[in-house]
Amino acid sequence: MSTAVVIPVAEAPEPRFDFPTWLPPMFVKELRQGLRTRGFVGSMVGFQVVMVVAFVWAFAVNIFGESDAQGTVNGFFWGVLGIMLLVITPLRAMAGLRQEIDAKTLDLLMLTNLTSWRIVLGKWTSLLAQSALLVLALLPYGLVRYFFGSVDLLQDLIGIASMYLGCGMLTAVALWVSGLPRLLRIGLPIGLVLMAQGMGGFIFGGMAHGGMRITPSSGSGGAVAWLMVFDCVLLLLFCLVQAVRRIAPPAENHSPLARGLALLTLAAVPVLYIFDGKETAMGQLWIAVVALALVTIIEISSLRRPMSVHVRTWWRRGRMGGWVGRLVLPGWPSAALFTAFWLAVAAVGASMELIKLSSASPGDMAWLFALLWAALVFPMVLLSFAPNIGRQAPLVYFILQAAFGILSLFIGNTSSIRMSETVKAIEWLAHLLPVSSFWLQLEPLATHPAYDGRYFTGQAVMLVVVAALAVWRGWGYWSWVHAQGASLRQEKKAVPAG
Amino acid sequence: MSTPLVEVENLTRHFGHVRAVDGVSFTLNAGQVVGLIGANGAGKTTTMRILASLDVPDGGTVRIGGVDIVDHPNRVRRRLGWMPDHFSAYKDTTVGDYLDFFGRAHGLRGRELAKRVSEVMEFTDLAPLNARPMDALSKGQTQRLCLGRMLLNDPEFMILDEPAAGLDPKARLEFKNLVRILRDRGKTLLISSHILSELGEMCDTLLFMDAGRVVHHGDRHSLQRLDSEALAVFEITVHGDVEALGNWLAVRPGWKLVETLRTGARAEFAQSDPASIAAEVRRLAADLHLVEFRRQERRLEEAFVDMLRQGARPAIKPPPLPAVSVNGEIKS
Repeated sequence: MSTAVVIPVAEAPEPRFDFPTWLPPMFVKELRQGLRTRGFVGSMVGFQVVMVVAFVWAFAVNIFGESDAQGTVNGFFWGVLGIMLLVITPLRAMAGLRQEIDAKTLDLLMLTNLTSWRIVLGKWTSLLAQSALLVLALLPYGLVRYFFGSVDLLQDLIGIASMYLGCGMLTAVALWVSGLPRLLRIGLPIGLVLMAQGMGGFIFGGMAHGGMRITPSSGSGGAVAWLMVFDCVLLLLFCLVQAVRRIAPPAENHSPLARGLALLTLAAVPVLYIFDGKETAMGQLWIAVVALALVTIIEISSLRRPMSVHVRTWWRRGRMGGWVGRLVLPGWPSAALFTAFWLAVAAVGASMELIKLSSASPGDMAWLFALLWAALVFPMVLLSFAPNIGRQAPLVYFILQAAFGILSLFIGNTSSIRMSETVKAIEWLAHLLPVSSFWLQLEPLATHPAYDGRYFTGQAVMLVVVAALAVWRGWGYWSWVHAQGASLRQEKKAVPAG
Repeated sequence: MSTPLVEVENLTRHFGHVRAVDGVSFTLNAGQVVGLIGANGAGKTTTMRILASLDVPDGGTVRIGGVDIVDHPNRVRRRLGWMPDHFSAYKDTTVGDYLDFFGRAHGLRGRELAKRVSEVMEFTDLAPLNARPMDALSKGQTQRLCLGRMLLNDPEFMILDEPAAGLDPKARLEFKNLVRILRDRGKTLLISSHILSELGEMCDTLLFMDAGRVVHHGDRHSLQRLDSEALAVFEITVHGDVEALGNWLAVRPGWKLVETLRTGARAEFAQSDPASIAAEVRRLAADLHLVEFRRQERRLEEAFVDMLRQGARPAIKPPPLPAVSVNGEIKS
């Protein structure tokens, strides 16, 4: 038995009082560091100078009555606030995990009582606390705006709260990105911005079409506003889970949480259907399908095998636990099963005619979902033949998906012009290949009501082949999982006997 | 017999086609100071990282205190101390802030935290540096800070990867003293280093690794003894021409020059029986102006390099803790 190493000091010193010891350690550490950084001090001083200059100029303009001082003051106030919350804070988070990983200080953190969750949450909350300090420092200027008149306090508060939520979400995204390898660190933000633009256009376009305003309670518009907050919070939590995953030890399985959060977007659909009506529910179903497809891409592109502890955690909870466990284990075979599960649930939604896409029938939608399953699973089935790819699997998976996507784009754009025999042959092939068949099927559903299903038999054969390949390539994975479950059952039986 | 604190069984870790760790097995008892020795790329750091639960093996098991480190890393980590080979300072952080943070991270609160940080600062002589920024510390001070951080949670088993690398002689001596105190307090330490003689002085047993495998496990004398029956090493001092001594050693059967010194040479003789050695001494004294002829223990480095040159030997069981060795000496 070892004894304490250090020599006890004669008198216990007074504890430090800069931050109380009940505060989370990581939060304190990040605040101590963050408040001393040039980024924070520079932002604090720089924004104060900008606001002082802007307000003095606005006062002068107001006195001489030359132009719209109120608009200038409002513009500066919201502009500075927006830059601070939506640009500076997320940019500072981009160094969050990367600094620790590069300096190898993460190893030291992981050997303390801190879990990967507490490390990520500490960094995130500290950045939000620092941005809250910056917001507080700007509030006096918000009050001075009353001098110029016509300020709506409720709208101001909603605006600041929305920006703060946006700041939390973007900071979570930045923390996730900061833990990624260099190539993905550059590629992912670009992809997310493009995706956000597309989704933003879809959502705000729908809102504008329906004449909705963002206010907490006004019929359908209110529901949409709350729905947006709900989806944003889910996205925020999902990004935090991804950040946690970058630093967590392999024994921790974060797939249940990541997949569970994505499923919650789907769970909101019946609630909206009951309380708000068909249209909002339909919009959420589309958001859920897109979100689940993106989450599936992240979840499925892994050649990892689950560890014994992952399997045992779920199998210990009985038969039901075992079934849930099969859906949430790390690795592509479990993700393929999970994909089949959520697509089946979405297809049920479609069959209840929640989705109306021109003349597409529920059967067409179910077929489309089946093709989506093949599109998501097939590249991983291919990659399972090259197990040495290891950590490069996600990158190769994305490349395969992109290659098939480009093929679909090419065929889609050439279908209206006169085609050579070679292009026609490629078109036939593209309609039968797993990924491109989904994209090419998607277009006729939206634009051509008279889709005749002439590729049906070929696609059906393709689906059976992909499913058979997935079962074959995943056989070893599932055998190992079941062996772990069986050994746990035997141990359980042995304990009372012993 | 007590259960070993650390049990490593058939550990493997591959990076692509490179077998960084290839079927390593050993056990460490509580209270031992063990040196891990090997050339660059021998698999030392990978083995240590797996033992510290910072990397996952491709095969094999590691148990610390009977707990599997792969399945239950968080349970093992509370009993572990880890000092990496490379240590980066936090920006905008003082020595006091750093230790205070790691104390909090280990679950210490209030007066207990302040007391523990203060104790560790006293032990590692960091108290005068309390308010100094971490990035303004010297290498030796940084190593002491890293050691202090490791001691905050009073771990049973400490893993130190190249702790003395880059330290000046004074800091090296201070570090050795700290290790001695830790050993006296019953801690189990696994230390890796390139400087074999230094490890030989600090450690109870040594684990030699080459190409991802343990090639020898024993105390320093067990390795030095491996060839001692066949070989004897001598330091020869002559008056006058050292080159003549080199020529003499080159032509005399059974002799091999190990190292040329300012006033003589170190050389190995193929026979170790006193009669043969005495005959050689007489011959040497007749041919050259012999001043001193002293039998030496083989240096650890030489024994290790010889062992590698002869090819990997099967790992051997560690002997009991070393007794004081007596060198046979022949003086002219």
